[in-house]
Amino acid sequence: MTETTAQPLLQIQHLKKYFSVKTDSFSAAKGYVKAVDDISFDVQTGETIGIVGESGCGKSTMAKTIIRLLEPTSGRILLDGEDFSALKGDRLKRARRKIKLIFQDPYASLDSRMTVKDIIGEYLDIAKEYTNKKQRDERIAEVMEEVGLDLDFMERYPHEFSGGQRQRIGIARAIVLPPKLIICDEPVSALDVSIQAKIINLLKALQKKMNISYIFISHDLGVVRHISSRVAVMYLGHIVELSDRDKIYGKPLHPYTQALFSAIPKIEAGATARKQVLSGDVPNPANPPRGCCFHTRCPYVMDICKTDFPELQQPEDGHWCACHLYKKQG
Amino acid sequence: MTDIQTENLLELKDLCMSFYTDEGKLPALSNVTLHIKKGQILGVVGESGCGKSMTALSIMRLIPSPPGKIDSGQILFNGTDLTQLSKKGMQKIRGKEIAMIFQEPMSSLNPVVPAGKQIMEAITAHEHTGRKEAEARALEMIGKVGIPMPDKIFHSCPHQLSGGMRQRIMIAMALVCKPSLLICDEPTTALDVTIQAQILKLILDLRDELGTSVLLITHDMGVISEVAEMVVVMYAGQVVEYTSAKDLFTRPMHPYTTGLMESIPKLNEDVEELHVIPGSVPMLNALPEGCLFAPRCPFTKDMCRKWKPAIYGTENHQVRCFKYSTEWEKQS
Repeated sequence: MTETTAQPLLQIQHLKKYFSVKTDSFSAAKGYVKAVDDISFDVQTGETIGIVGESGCGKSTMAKTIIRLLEPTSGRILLDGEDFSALKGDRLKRARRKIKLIFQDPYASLDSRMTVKDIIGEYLDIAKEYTNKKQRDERIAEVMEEVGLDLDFMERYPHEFSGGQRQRIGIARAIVLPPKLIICDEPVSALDVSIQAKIINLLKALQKKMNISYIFISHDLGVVRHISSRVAVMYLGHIVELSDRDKIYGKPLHPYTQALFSAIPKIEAGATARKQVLSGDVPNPANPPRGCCFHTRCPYVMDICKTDFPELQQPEDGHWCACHLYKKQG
Repeated sequence: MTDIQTENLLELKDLCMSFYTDEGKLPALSNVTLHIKKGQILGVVGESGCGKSMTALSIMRLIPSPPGKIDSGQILFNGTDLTQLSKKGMQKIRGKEIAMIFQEPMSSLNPVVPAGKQIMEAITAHEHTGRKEAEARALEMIGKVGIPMPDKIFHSCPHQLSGGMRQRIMIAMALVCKPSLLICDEPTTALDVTIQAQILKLILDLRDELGTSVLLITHDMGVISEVAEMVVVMYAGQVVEYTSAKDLFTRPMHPYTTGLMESIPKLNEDVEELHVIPGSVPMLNALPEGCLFAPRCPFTKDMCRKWKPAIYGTENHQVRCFKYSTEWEKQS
């Protein structure tokens, strides 16, 4: 999407993930939930791209599809120029080392019957990275120090840790085989603010040190602004706006982005909740509205919005937005 | 905090509540003092485990007992001490005078009973009203909380409704008996931001219309700054700061509050690294001897480790910190 001379680390081209809706397991599909519908963007080495949107907009499905925990319905995922979406078997396994995922719920994403050492070391074992047990343990200790975990914790089980520490274990697991890209799916949403700050600082420090790229999914716009260099806004499976952080926060173009930003409670004296509040709920993704998927809630809705789907375009240089309001004349 | 003022709807005085477990006594609330005036919105903010929800449950007398027990202190509601009330006496107040809405509406609604019927239950439990009248009032309330097509929703079960709709049903149920105090425990935490904005606006509008006082519990400083008038900051079972929402954000006084503010990423300023409060929240079975925040505080002096600070500051900006005592300068 952005033109750069260097090859992007990850290129996502027209990625789609549809889930079929069936009344029972024998009948043909009645329709599709278009959880991710025609999404394209690039991720450069060492950058963080933030993805924001409300629940059900397809953020997490996109994350799982990129890492191929879910098979994409169509579209291509290019990792280092290699078609990651077409890989199979051993080659897929090897390529997967480059992408890791950190989950929202540190309570559910760690095996409660494994010690911290084994949780972190599991990747090393699968990759057969170290044949020597001592070397393996040394690498685990090194990683634990890197993420700020006490080495005494090695033999302990996840239930003995607080949420912040569990998230550190999750991060240690993700970086034990140095990845090129980490997809962070709401990594701090379950944490208190003071712990959230520690985890965000850790993620930023690791990025600097190891030159990792992040796809950072969150509904917290403050956190996303702090960590990202570019931001994409998703609504019902589509990217509706994509730009540099300062452009999108300084002057959001899409009506949905504007409404989203205005809905965020602001921490400033004299702020008030009495403002333009978006009415209605997010439409059912199994039965999305025709035309622009936001037109049912949009304050600027026009006739064309009800019939024609708006394509992503650049009303301003490097600022992508899918809205008929910015349609180029002629 | 101050002398009893007639307009104080609810007043907590030195409320102490503990859990008695095998590991000994765990003081969940120690000397919690706060008050809400009529028609006011008081925000209670703090991190998990600081005693926000326990304060709410103590007011409602819903602490599971055993192991929980109110050790001392008073909960004055319109002048009546709720801690002294019998089970029956409390039942008359709960739901009628003081209503509560919870974080997860799905787990507090009955999934197989139509929404309208659940609202009617709240009416018939407290008032001698006929079925017809209760139905009419429930229907009116559903309309009031901004639900389109009240007739249809009246007959829908909660599982057919969206999260925002369910929370509206909870609010309708809470407000149908026109309580004078509404306790909201993280009412919007499970909701999306655009829906959160709708619900917060609804709470504000209903407060204006019905004059209900609101005790709003949340961990989100943003919600506090937009909705609350007065704010209580809690830490490890204590109130550490009480002030107006405006003052809290322009000149926070307690080192914990300041630290908390600085650790939130802002929408309008750039920092390379977020501020971090060192250490972690103390466990209830191993509370420090002096000030509870002393081990993590950048200003700690000897006196902080030895003694527990009282409340200092002015009537409208109270803070539990020795920094604001007259003794502070003299200490090393």
